[in-house]
Amino acid sequence: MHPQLFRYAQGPYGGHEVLLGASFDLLIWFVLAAMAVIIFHAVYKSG
Amino acid sequence: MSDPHTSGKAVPRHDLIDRLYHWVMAAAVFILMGTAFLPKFGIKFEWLTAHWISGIVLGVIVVLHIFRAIIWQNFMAMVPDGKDIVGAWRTLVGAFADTRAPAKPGKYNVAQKFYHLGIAIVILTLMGTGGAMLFKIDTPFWKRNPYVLTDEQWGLIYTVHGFAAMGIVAMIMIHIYFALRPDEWHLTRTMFRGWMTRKEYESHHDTLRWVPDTEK
Repeated sequence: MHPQLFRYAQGPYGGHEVLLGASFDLLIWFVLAAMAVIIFHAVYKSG
Repeated sequence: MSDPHTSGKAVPRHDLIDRLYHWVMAAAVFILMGTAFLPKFGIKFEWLTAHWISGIVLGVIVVLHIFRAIIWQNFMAMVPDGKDIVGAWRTLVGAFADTRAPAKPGKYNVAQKFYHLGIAIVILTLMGTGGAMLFKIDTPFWKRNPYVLTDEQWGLIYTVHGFAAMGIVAMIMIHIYFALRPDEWHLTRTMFRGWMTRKEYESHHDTLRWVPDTEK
């Protein structure tokens, strides 16, 4: 599964797609990245 | 038991105004994150008013903080310098080979300085893009005027705001993790009461690089 990076909408009058913003499907990846940093540091410090 | 303030055992670290700034900023950021992301998870409520008001509160206190840091505080205490870089390198190398203890930091360690730099970039980005977005909403103080920018320009602003907002979630998680670690608790405590013990000061800091105000 490939998460979308951006959100788009159809332009007015059926024109080209217009960028709406970042895709919030990516939030989980930011959370996982933070958790990876935290777990790595906790393991390193406990060693 | 003697009072650490009068016995010379208390080393001041954060003035009351700086602690208030930190906790008001924390409250504003949590309201901003909650009002931004809870609706995305299906928790529906009228989020926009709380979001823009919190954003303005955050913007005002950040501007005041910048003025205070530049004019009244030691701005360079939060700027990474050569000793920080060398210390960070020794810590990194020492983790694998070197047995020498890394040098002690001044008031802030290198990780805190780079974290502050990163969070400053993210918050200023959110303030800039969020400030522009105020043109798109009606408030008691102004009427919306979304035509100041094109759809493509608005898309870019919303994209940058969105990525910065997701980035700050990750940064806040890491910040809270470090604040709750037992070996960092002596620093976290100073954000509540403003001072650390002389023993904590001498064992965790280079007393030549950080001379508290009371000792100058």
